[in-house]
Amino acid sequence: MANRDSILKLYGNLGCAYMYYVEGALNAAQLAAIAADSACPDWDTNTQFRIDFTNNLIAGNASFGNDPPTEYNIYRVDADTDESSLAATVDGAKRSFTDYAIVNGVTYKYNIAPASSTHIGAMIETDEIVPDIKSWELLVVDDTDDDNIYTLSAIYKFNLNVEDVVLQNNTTVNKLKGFTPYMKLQRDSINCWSGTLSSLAGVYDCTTQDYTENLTILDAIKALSTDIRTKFLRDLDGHLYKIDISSSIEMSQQVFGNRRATTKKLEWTEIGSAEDVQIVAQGDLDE
Amino acid sequence: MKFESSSTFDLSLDDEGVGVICLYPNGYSGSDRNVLRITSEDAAEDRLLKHEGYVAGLFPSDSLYPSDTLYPDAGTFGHFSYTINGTTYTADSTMELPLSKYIVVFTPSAISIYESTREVA
Repeated sequence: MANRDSILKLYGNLGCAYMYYVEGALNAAQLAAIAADSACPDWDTNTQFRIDFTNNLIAGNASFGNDPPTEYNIYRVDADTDESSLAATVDGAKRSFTDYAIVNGVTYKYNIAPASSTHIGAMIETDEIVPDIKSWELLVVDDTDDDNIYTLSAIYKFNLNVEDVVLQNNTTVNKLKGFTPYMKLQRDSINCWSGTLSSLAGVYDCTTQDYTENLTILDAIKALSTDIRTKFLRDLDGHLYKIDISSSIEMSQQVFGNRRATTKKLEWTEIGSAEDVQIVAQGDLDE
Repeated sequence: MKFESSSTFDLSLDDEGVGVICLYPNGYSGSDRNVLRITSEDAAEDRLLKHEGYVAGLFPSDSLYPSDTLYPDAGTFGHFSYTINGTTYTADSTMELPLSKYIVVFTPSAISIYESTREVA
């Protein structure tokens, strides 16, 4: 008797009520269920696989017998350091989610843990991925009932004709003069980034090779300066900042005959920590 | 990221274990109809369950004129075929497939079937 890593394939084109596989021989309850032509027996101590199509789908390693998952806890794991953080908790009926709280250039994998009111299931581990985002991205998010959990509302990209970015961490140092030949330095506790971002406001269609901008885009950029929702900024180097817009929005237009190209420019300031933040797509958290 | 249900499952299974499947086979023509397959990743174990040999019957109609070229034919019910590591076991069907429900039990050295009439919803 040996357990082997195996692949079980159910073929299509048949109506399947249930299927299960047990270690060793069938027990008395399983034999009785077969003899009585009754429903699929419950998960038992000898059960290694069970799939039941008659009670929705309760199957595989994401189930606990007749107790299907009520939620999935999805952990984002940095594949290099093996550190994990909770990326989202989605309803048991969900089969997908989108993680926006990632940083550029880091190798991630996800561990998906099914859970019910009484059980936590074995982790399902995904393949590794490396986000490769080619632009600065400003994420405008909506709050949820839970702290540090947000749903994405809009993304503003800064990827066309980007100007050089200058960051500063806003720390000031007072130079105090005393009775010695040397000055004493007094530092404040502020240590947050601020900077400016500037790029073309419109979009570029790679198919038609045409740059376009319209009133909707320009109005959306203008609305940013009075938008009180939480914002995050993702840079190219692997940072995610919690920020807000700290200046008026500046737009400058270059005119080429009857065409124009508008450059948007804004100043941003880091206002909090983006550590352990969860940002998912709208609808991912709905039941 | 999506985590969808699959008809293929990666599992750790006992090679001396027993499988049970309850199914409602549909009729088919031509090639055999595979039901399930379990293969170990080290290629040491291979189990294939299929149904083969089914031929639909031809029954006279009560309301149409008899044909000169088509004759009533009971058809062939066929059988389940279970091949484990090169050894094949069979179990005959005794009813028309579309009317049947089967519980198939397959062990390391045998196959047994429990045949009944398909429930009408």
